[in-house]
Amino acid sequence: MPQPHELSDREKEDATGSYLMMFATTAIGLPLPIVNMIAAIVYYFVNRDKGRFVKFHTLQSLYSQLPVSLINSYGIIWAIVNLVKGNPFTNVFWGYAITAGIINLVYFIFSIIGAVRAHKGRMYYFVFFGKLSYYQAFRKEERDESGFVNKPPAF
Amino acid sequence: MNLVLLINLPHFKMRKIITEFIVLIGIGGLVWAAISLLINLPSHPVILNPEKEKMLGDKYTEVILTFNGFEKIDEPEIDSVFKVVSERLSSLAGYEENGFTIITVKNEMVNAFALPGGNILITTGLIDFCESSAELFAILAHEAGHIVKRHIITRLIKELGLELLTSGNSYITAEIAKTLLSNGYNRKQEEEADLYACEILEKDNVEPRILASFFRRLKENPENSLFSNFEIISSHPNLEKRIKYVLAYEDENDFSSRIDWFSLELLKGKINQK
Amino acid sequence: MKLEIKHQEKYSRLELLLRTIFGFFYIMLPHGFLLFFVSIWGAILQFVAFWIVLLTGKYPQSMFEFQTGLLRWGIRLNARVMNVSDGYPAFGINATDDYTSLDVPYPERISRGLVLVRLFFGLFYVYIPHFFILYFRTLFVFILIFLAWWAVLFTGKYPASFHNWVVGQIRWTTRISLYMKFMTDKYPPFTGDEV
Repeated sequence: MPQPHELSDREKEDATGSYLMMFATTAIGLPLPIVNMIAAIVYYFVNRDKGRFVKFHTLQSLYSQLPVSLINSYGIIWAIVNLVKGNPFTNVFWGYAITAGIINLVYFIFSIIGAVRAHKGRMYYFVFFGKLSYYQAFRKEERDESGFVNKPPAF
Repeated sequence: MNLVLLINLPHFKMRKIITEFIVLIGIGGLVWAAISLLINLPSHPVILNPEKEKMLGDKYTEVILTFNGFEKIDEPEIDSVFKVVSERLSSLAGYEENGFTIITVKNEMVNAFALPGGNILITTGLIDFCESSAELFAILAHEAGHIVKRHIITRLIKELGLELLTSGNSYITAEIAKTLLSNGYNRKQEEEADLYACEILEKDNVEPRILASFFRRLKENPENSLFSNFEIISSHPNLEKRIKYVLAYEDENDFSSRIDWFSLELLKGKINQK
Repeated sequence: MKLEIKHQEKYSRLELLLRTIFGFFYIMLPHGFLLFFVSIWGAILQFVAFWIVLLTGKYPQSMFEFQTGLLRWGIRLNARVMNVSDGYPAFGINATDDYTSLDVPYPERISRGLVLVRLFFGLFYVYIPHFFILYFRTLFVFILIFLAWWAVLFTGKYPASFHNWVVGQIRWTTRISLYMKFMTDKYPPFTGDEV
């Protein structure tokens, strides 16, 4: 596990950037929650080979972004369907909308904390996503012992 | 990729991770349920405020009154009768912001239209066709239902979009006015309006199922149902269903008498004078 | 920063004609398509970098390299479109080119106050003055490109002073971009020459 003083500045900056991908929608201007998700995925693929610290943070940010984006998208689709079909906006819907708002707020706060910690080179674990990302980023790579042996074509 | 990882993990660690996941989902679900049960927010959010709606409605009323066959009848006695009726309807409906305004037009067709902002247009044909003031009141309550339940506004927004509604272009306004006159309510909306009418009538101590007898008479007089896209008159199967629906309305009291609190005969007399 | 576009001894007439007639299809379309998506990513990174610079005063290194790579790609493409370089422009953020090069030194510190000034007043003290002059310069450069087209067609040589003017145009606009993207604190000079 790399310690803060062992990490280069570059790694710290890369890790910080991952938490800021949630602002991609704001950057683009379109109110589509999917854009955040795509930006986080792209950021992961660009940065996954840059060391375990960076990989951990990008993974954590990505995994926590996924459910938030899905919840937001579903809420927006529900609202549009209601408007188009003239369905009433029941209390269940408003409950969902408010819960989604709270989830977004919680995600936002934790992401900012994560960004600041990453900038200092420290680890920070989210509730469930922390452990998941940790085990993915820090596992020992298994050597492929079985190995595929190339052979010339069978005549 | 992750499932492989999870399977490779020692058992107790995997269990812990899944527990945390379930706890997260559980908390989310509980919060959702709690908020849904505790709050009470409007089911049809107001996209147009009442003043704007009234302005729009008046604009469309003006345009409609210029159409052929929609000549407004300006008779002080008729107007004063309807003023009383509309005030009573407004207070029964709880629709005090704009209040209902009833406008009569000289037309033989039996019809009535609801417009945004509380304007209700009825034809002289309708007044002639009604056999009791309770029937007329029932029709007015039905139209009021469309307004109060925001069927018109919802329908218009759905079909034409908010931009068009608020634009000032006179050609577009005329087209929108024509849309308001055609039958666009879906069956659910018609049922809601019928139900609303029954509720209002019940509140006013009038036999709610008067609407059913009105429909039955309409059915029996096909010459009045020439245009199938007019609001009240739909194709026959539809009328059947609506009659059944209204007859199935369960009311609390036992109505024995019909209270005629405004004089239909007076109205009929006035319009036939013209 | 150093921007260089090689002034070749001989320009290929075949490539000139090819570029003029089919250039839209085999150069602009592929590059344009890819650049569209890469630019979107660049815009997202730009937005994120803005906040990081504002809060920490340091431009993240990998994002800086991405943005310079993107600029390099644009310069590669423009050099062919303006007929100042031959050869097919390479794809990619990290690609190099024999004919064009761009060197932007990595700034260790960026002034945060200047970032805010650029954000709120950039329109007035950067864009308006520069683009006013650039408007006329661009018209002039278009005429030069047109004349140089005939020169290359008949003699195979690009007149040196014309070449300077066109490269200066690219250099000038790149400097404005660098300044407004918070990649340098040096105000862009009103010239296309190397300083």
